[in-house]
Amino acid sequence: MAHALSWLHRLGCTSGAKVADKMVPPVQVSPLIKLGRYSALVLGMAYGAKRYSYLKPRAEEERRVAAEEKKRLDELKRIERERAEAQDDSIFK
Amino acid sequence: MAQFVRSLAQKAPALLNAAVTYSKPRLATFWHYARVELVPPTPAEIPKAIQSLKKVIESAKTGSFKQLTVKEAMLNGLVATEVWMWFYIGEIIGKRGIVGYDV
Repeated sequence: MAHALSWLHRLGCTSGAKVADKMVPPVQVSPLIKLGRYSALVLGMAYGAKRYSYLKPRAEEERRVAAEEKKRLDELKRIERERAEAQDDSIFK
Repeated sequence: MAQFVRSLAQKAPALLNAAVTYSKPRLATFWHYARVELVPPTPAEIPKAIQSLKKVIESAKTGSFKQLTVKEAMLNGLVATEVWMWFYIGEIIGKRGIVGYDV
């Protein structure tokens, strides 16, 4: 356990020099592309938020309906089980 | 388990130090490029962007886009795909979940 993480100490700044050697100058991005990117980002955020608020009440309704249905079926099963137990004349209770 | 947690707590400052030393130059490189390439458009650039958009629509109308080389067309396709992916990243932020809607 003592040496399991010792490899991290060897990292240091060794890669810093390698990275600084061959740095190409940054690309000048066209304004159209910049505008397109950020408008797509904002549109995506709006779409995601809208769809989330649309789906949320529907999912809750679905869960509520499923819970009610389950309760109903459980009740029916309970009645059926008790009826079967009442009719059962086995001595192994 | 308790021993692992204890040894981790003892090593935590050293680990943190190592992580910071490792990531500093990389963050510097990232920042060096991101400051030019990933910034949003300034308000002064928006008319230029609209001009470029008009040019693209013109080339679609006159059919001059057919004069593009295949290589140029492919690069344009890649750039368009990248721009479209930002939409999905925005959607991830909007729905506050990576996969699926957590309703």
